[in-house]
Amino acid sequence: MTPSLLVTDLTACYGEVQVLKGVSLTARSQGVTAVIGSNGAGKSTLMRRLAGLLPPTGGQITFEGQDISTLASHDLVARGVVLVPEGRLIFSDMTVFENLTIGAVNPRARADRDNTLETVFDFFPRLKERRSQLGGTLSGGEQQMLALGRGLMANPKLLLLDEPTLGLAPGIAKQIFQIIPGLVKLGLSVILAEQDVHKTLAIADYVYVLENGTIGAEGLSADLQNDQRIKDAYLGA
Amino acid sequence: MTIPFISTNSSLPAVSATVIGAVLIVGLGVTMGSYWTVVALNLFMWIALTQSWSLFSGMTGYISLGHVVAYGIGAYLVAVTFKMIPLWLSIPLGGLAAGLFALIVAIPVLRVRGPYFVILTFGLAELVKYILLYTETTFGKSSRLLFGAPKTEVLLYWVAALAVIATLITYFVGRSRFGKGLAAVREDETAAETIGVPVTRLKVLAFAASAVIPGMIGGLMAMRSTYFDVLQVFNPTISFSIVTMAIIGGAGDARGPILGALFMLGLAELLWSTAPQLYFILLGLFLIGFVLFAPNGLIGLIKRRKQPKGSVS
Repeated sequence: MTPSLLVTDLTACYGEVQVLKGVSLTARSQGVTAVIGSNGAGKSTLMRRLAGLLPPTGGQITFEGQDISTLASHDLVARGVVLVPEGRLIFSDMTVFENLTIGAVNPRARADRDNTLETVFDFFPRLKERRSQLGGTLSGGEQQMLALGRGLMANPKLLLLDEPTLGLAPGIAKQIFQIIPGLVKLGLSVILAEQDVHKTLAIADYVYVLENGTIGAEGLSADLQNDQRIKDAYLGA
Repeated sequence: MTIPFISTNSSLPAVSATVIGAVLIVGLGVTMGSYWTVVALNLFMWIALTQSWSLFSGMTGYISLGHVVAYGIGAYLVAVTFKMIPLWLSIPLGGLAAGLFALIVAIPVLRVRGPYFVILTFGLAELVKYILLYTETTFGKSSRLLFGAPKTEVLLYWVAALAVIATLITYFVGRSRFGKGLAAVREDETAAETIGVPVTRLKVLAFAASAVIPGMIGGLMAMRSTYFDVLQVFNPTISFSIVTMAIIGGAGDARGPILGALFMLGLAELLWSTAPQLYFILLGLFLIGFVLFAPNGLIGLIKRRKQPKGSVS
């Protein structure tokens, strides 16, 4: 498979604290690449760094053959690298419709806005029903759908999903997980950061295990499911 | 199906209403005598200032408590160049100088948010005030008399025109993609970044733009008072009044600053001469009342009455 995103020896810091200590990974084109790891392993930092939300400190990021290591977030979005952030961060005082349309702010997405909106409503009929409701009045699951929909409105090529099921009821988390393979079918590449190892292994093609800011293990999902070390550490015997 | 980002169909009535309203008040102010000319002048001055403030602070949620700095810089430029270059040139130049100043300080100042931003803008305005005060006294010019300033009526036309322009700018920016981007910043800056809003560029532009008209107003008001005094044109009370009017009227909507200015000037005209202490007591009470019970100001109250609350899941 051709790589969508190539990350080499990436570092990231919050002030003096170095959180990522040289992470290298490859995101597969039109596939789900997962990053699993416990709380504080650096998953969100990695995602924020990839989305251009943290100042570049070291390492290289290549997207579709071009160096994007130092680009600002809006330039990355314009090129098709879009983060759906942890905690959803929807605009509570805007309607569902406004949340979605503002997602298509970059020039590439703007031209296609109406079509993309239809696609998003196909994925999430609930959002269509609640289109004139304020974002803040939605339930947690609906807000996650809205955050995903808003990300899709940016017309991404590579979608970075940071813990999309955090704090959601198991039934709704399951729904969100079921949507991800559908996104790949649309032609998207996905990097998924998750704590739920079981469900992640079920939908991911390739998995990286992040431990203390470095890649501790990696492999095809199928292989990792049988890996004794992963079983012990993350799956609970 | 098209998604209306700018709804042009509803623009015309708003524009006409603004212009007609302004022309009517100017007409009344001029025909009803000098007292009313001054009242109209003050009204338009505050509308222009609060509207400009709203362009940045109302839309982004970054509360500037130092907007007087733009007013002061404009006044200073016009006073210093008085009789050297014509007013039709020096007043726009004053606006430009204020805008440039805002552009230069924007990058460092906009790095902080919330209360830090409020304090920083306040401190910055005070800093500029004392630097200019020092400069002026060093050159032996603690204040400058400005003989031969235009008549109040002429100033009124200028200020009214600027109030109309400021109102229209706030109105149209609010409906533009630029305005939607600023609204996203106000709601959640990180989220705005993740969806590709060029957050820094937008904030800097809005900050600089919001200083231009106050700079021009400062120049005009220096002409009005016929003398220039640093402490007067950099008086922090101007910044406080702008914020108060924006809170009472409601920011983030072009009608808010108009209502706020009308409300405060109305209150002032009613009570100022008869019971000045009562004026300040009431003003304080209103400010507290609005912050606590109607944080979106008068315009928020009107909107709430118009449309019943949306269904809650």
